[in-house]
Formats: sequence, C-alpha cells, structure tokens
Amino acid sequence: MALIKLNNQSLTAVTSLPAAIPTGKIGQVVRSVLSTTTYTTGTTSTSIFSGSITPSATSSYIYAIFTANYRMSCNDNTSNPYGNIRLKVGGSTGSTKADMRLRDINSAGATNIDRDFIGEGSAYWTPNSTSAQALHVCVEMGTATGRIGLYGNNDHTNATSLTLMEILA
Amino acid sequence: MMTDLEKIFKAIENLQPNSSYKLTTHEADSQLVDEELFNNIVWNSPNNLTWSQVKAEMDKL
Repeated sequence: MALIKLNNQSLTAVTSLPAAIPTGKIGQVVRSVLSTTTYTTGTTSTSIFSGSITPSATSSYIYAIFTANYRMSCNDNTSNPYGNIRLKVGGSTGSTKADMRLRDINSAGATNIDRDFIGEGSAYWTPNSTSAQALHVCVEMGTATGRIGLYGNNDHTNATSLTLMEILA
Repeated sequence: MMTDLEKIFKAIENLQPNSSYKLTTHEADSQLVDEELFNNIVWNSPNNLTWSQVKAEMDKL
C-alpha cells in the first residue's frame, strides 16, 4: 500500500519540485581535520593544514568554519606567547578571511606553563570564480619566544578542523 | 618533570634562541621525540643544529 503520493505519482517518478518548494542552498561540504598535533615557534606566518573547495558557479559563496583546539606554552617567565590563528587563501602569505586573536597566557613568574584552549572562526565570501579555492589555517606568533600548538587527530577527539561549504545563489 | 616534547623545544631555544619553525608530531605517538621528528622540522629561520646536539642538550634538562 502506497503511503505518500505526489501529484498521484510514486516518489521515484518525481523529477522536479514545484517552484514554491525551496531546494537546498548548500552545494557541497568539504571537511579537513588536522591529523597530527603541530607546534609553531617564531613570528613567521606558518600554514598548519588546508582544505580546498571548487565552487560550481561564480555566484556561489563559501562559508568557512575552523575550530582550533590549541595549546599555548612558555619556556620561562619571559616567553608568554601570543599571536593569531588565521584562515588564509592560497597559503601563509595569502589574504586573510578570518582571524582568531590569541592573547598572553600571563604566566609571569612561572616556567614551562602549558594552557589549553578551544576557539572558532568563520568567514563568508564569494571568490567569484569556479577555480579551486585552497584555504589554509595558519599560525602567526606575535613573539619569538614560546610556542602555539594546534591539536591533531593523534591527540584529541576534537581535533582542529576546517569545514568549507559552498552556498548556492 | 619535563616531557621529551617540552625538552626538545627548550633544547632548541637554548642552542639557537628565537628560532622559527614548525614541528609536527608523530601520528602514532604525539609524545614521541626522536631523530625522525627532528629531521621533519620545517625551519622558517636559519638552522645549524643537528639531532645529536639537540639530544645532548635535552639530556641535560
């Protein structure tokens, strides 16, 4: 016994929906997870990992969400790290789409302090292109001392990740 | 007590202060520090260190 019929047809025979019924706006989802915990020292912008998405139309937007599970560490009482985790297009020197600002862990007077945090950043833009868009999660320390580590799959269930979605026009 | 991971950062800082680099941990063991891990470091700043130098410094800590 058929339970539901559309326009007196079975579901397998339906090839299109009436215009009044909105269709989905998410064209595709690409998720990348950092596989191994990675530490960065120094003030050079460093790509930690990346994801790539190819829009199906120039009118599409990209919605990017990165979740960072990270550790800030100092070696001594003068090496409090600070800096940024940034989402950049193309590589560590590309344009910034999102910026997660990390501040001093205030470990003055202590040595070998590690502190763990989790944070999230997002961006929404149109590249106006159907070429592949590579998005890099980069760490940029603001000081030459101390370090920032992004936790990977080998350390945490909630590893640092990047999710890219194509939002159709 | 410092872990080996903490020691390698400290050893590099002692031997070559203010170095800029990316250190990727082993996939199978995020705490394992060995010559392979050292050799896989991506240096953003000039590096003249060898694993034996770093290991010797780690052993002092």
